[in-house]
Amino acid sequence: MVFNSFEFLFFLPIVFVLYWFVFKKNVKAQNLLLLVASYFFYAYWDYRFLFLLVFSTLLDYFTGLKMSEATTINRKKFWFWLSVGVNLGFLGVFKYYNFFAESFAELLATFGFKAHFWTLSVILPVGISFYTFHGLSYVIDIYNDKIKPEKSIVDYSVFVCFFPLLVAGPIERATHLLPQIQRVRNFDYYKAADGLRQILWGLFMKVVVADNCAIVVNEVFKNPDSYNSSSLFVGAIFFAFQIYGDFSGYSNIALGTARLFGVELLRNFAFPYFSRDIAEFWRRWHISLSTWFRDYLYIPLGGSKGGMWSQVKNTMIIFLVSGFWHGANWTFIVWGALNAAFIMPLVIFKLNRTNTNIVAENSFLPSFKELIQIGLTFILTTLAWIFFRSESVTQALHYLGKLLNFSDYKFPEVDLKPFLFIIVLLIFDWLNRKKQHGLEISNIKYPVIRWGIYLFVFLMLLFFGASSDSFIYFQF
Amino acid sequence: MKKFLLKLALFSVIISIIILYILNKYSGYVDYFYGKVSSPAQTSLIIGDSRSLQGIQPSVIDSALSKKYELPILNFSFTVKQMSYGDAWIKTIKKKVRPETKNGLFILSVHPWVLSEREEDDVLNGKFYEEKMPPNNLHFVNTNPNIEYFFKNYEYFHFKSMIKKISIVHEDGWLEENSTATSDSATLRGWENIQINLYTKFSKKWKKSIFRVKKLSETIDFLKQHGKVVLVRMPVSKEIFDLELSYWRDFNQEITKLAKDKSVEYYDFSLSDDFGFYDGVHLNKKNGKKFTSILCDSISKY
Repeated sequence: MVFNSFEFLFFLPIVFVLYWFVFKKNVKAQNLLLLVASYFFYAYWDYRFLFLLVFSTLLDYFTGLKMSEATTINRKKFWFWLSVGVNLGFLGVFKYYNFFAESFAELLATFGFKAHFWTLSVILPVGISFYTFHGLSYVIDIYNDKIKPEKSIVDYSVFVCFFPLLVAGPIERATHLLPQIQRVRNFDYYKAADGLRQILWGLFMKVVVADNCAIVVNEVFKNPDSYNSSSLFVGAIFFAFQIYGDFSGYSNIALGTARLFGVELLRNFAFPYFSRDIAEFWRRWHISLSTWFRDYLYIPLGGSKGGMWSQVKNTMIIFLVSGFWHGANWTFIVWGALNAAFIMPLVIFKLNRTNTNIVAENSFLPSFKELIQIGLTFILTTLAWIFFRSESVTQALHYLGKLLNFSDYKFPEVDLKPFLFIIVLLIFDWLNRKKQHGLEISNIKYPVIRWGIYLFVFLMLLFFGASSDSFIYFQF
Repeated sequence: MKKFLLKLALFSVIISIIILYILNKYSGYVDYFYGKVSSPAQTSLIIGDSRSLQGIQPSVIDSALSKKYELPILNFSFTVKQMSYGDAWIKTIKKKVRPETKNGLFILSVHPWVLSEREEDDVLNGKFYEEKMPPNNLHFVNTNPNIEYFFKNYEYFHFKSMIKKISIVHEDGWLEENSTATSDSATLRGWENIQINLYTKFSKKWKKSIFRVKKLSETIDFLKQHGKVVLVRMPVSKEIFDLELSYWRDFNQEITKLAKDKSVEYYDFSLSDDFGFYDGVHLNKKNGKKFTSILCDSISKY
């Protein structure tokens, strides 16, 4: 089930009513309801993969318990590696097996050897990268004695598959989400009202911005030779906003939905396109994944402790792994490598924590310098997005080559209307850049203005919403 | 919680009013089919795909034949994406015809593609593509407002079309397509090529269906209880006709035989070269009017 569907429009109120009215006095019953609703939500997409989700959940639950019961370090290690191995094994089979088989065959072919490996005809189970990482963080935290294992199978299962975050995150941590699941939750009007605002804003980002940009992007990336260079330039910018609208929009809907149930999920986006350098961008883009890699990969590898070389090496590793996490394609790895290359000068010259505050914190508009910084950062990220969007590295290089052919810059041959939606998005985001999301307008004193804004956003959805079946990040 | 629910209900009411107002006032621009399933049950119908949706104008029929039949007539045509004679359509037509009708007029547009088995059809298990499409996916086809349509087929709504106001489906169900008014021969040729490619694709993937011809026969049986039934094969360009001929050589003979068996008229206009198309398949506004007049003459004559 996707958030921008009518099925969800029925599903959500039903679960909401049952949760707050039927089961309101019993947190166990509420959790059981959330679990059943989450499995239904997932099975509605494809029930065949529900077993995988349940198996992964049970595996991490039991290995968590076994690790805490283990009397020797070797037994603890056994259960830990069993969980990590099986989780990554599933991910490897479903997501990466064909990539490795084909890449290895191609490599052998370049040396003159002919090799044929079986490739699997498998569908990627939606959300597998997300729920696997949920489980892994839980198991790693228990192994490192940071948390105690959860005794209740229901509570643990809700932590893994709470429906707002099940298919595309944010990637939660047991330390953050489990305590919220265990305790009694009371309805909070302000949180719930803001949750609805966040959902409305997420829908705007997805349906109006991302889906309208997608129409142009799909066409331009499919036939780059049919368009002039300026059209390709527009196509690249539109993709930058498509993926932002799509994924940040999804995250907003997820966070808003969770707040309706009294649960606060980890923030995933913090207005990334207002970043003044790449390091700041990565602190604001897909935050739950960046911090996951920081805590479970970068720091265990040594982080910045082993001197400059170690820091450079570890930074490179997490960007490459992050690229690979997105998909079994060299395009994602090049995308990760490019971002690593962009951030490296900042790491080497220790400038990666220059911009930790909010841009134009004490003024209405950014300074000229900040504007240039924002523009340059956006150009760099957009260049990297070209690889992310392309089907192959060759296609991306071809696109890039044509894009940089400045003699072919004429008036764009594509629909420029999505720029209007992007402008609306940027205005709202800018005005609310110190808040959690672009429509956090509870501070506006006059209800008439607030309601006018809600209706404006709704009418934008109604009149300018394009349709698409899914969210980009469902594939990861 | 009370405050939250009250405000949410208020917001829901406001947006529902906005949507219903737009649908009531501009449904012809916003959605090609909403008006057809939110109008009351009818005494006379034009049934078919986009050829009859654009090419048969009910107002012409109403003024020419009102003394002979229970009119007005509703153009209950959809598109080739939704239309194929089958059980789903029979069910829908039964709901759309006013039960007490005795002297209605029912014009059924026929051509090879609406009597074909498509790649999505599963004849053995009785599953057909059109069951999931409007109007066949609806329980209610005569209610206003039609909330069921809105929830099941919201992807057909294009609210921004009420601003552009280019094409409109009139209250009588006729689609007035104004985006195609051009005399530029290159553009027209381009549009016809699109249709030729589309039908060539159909001819490779689809196959003529005895089952659907049988369902057409059942449709005739039902409608004959409520008035006069005529079968019409609408004009198309020579290229499209040749394609249809190579796909289903005996089509006219088979339909003529069916019409004879059922004692209904079959008017074959497929090769009339008196009409202009904008894409080889669809009649433009002017030619649609001319064609409907000729059709009325034929109906009056027999």
